[in-house]
Amino acid sequence: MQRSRLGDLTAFNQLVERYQGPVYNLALRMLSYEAAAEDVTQEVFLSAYRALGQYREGSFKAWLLTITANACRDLLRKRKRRQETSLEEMVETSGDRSVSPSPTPEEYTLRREVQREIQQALNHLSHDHRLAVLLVNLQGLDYGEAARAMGVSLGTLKSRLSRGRAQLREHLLTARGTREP
Amino acid sequence: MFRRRSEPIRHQRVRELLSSYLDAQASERERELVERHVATCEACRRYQEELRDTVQAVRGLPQVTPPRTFTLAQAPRQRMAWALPSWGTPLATATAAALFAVLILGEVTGLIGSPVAHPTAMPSSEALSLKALVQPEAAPEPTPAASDALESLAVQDETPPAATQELSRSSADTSPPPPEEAAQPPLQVPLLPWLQGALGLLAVASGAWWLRRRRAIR
Repeated sequence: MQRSRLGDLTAFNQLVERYQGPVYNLALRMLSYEAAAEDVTQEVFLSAYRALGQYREGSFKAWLLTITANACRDLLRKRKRRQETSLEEMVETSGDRSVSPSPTPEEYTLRREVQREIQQALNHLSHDHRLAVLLVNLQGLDYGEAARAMGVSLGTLKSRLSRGRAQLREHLLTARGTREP
Repeated sequence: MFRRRSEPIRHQRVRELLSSYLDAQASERERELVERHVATCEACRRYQEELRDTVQAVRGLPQVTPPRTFTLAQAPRQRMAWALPSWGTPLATATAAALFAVLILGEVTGLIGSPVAHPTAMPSSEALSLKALVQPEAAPEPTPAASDALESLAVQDETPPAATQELSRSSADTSPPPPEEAAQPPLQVPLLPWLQGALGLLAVASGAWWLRRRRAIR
């Protein structure tokens, strides 16, 4: 980290390799679109390199995810303004490159279907609720780190997490009811 | 005596707490409340199970391997090569605010870019305001009503201040004011229009830069 702060590109690239997975996955789950997630991930590391002097203390991963969340928010705002393709149509979060063990074809199909349902349910949440759920449940940040990454109090984070999960539950129950008549 | 919390509200409260409870982030008191309620409430117990399944489902989402590496081939150009030290942001904010205040105050008070009387030539603020009433720029003949009003002013105040004396003199004498008084050089703050514009732009740019930096790296 110290070498990176002094402008050592090789040292910084080691940090990129270590954290590009979490950054890319958060962007992918927030945006539901692989090309956009790639663009955001690259932008995050460029911004991070330029802003390394501002990183003070705490979790470097949480700091990177803060930049990621802000970049995703900006992109979603632009997308909303341009009235681009709806989120429903863009749900294509490929599981082909996932690091999960290879299942049987039936399991694979079912798993893909469940993952698609979860992603669709996530897409129905507001930006803030989705971010809270993803930071805690997908990225494994603790409540304090997630609250700092979102720039909110612990109470607000708990509230957003609770509401986000409650809405997810509703959507998943509805989807399950549709899938199993 | 405290009234017991009504059942629908209690269900709602417990369900709100269940999220933190499942992550072991609820306080001792909240944990007791949840456990006591769930032990006797079938609906909330089912809700707890469904919420737990939901959390597990999100946790079960696969970590997708990035399609490529995002390492940097070369160091990006530093946008902030002239980056300010830690006190730079407050300084930029204060500068932007001060510039705005100066420009707005200048416009409102007319101190910037518009002529004002020289402070040393001002007998008093009352005299200025009254003089403005009775001395139009072209110094026309005073109307009878104005003369009457000035006379009554002089009668009301037995020891008129210098301003009133001056007014009485000027109203009695219908000739134009003395040339040296009329040609009194106005004070103009030497702020050219282009400088005003530049300051305004600087203020806006400082504010925009500060907002962008704050939003990008919170």
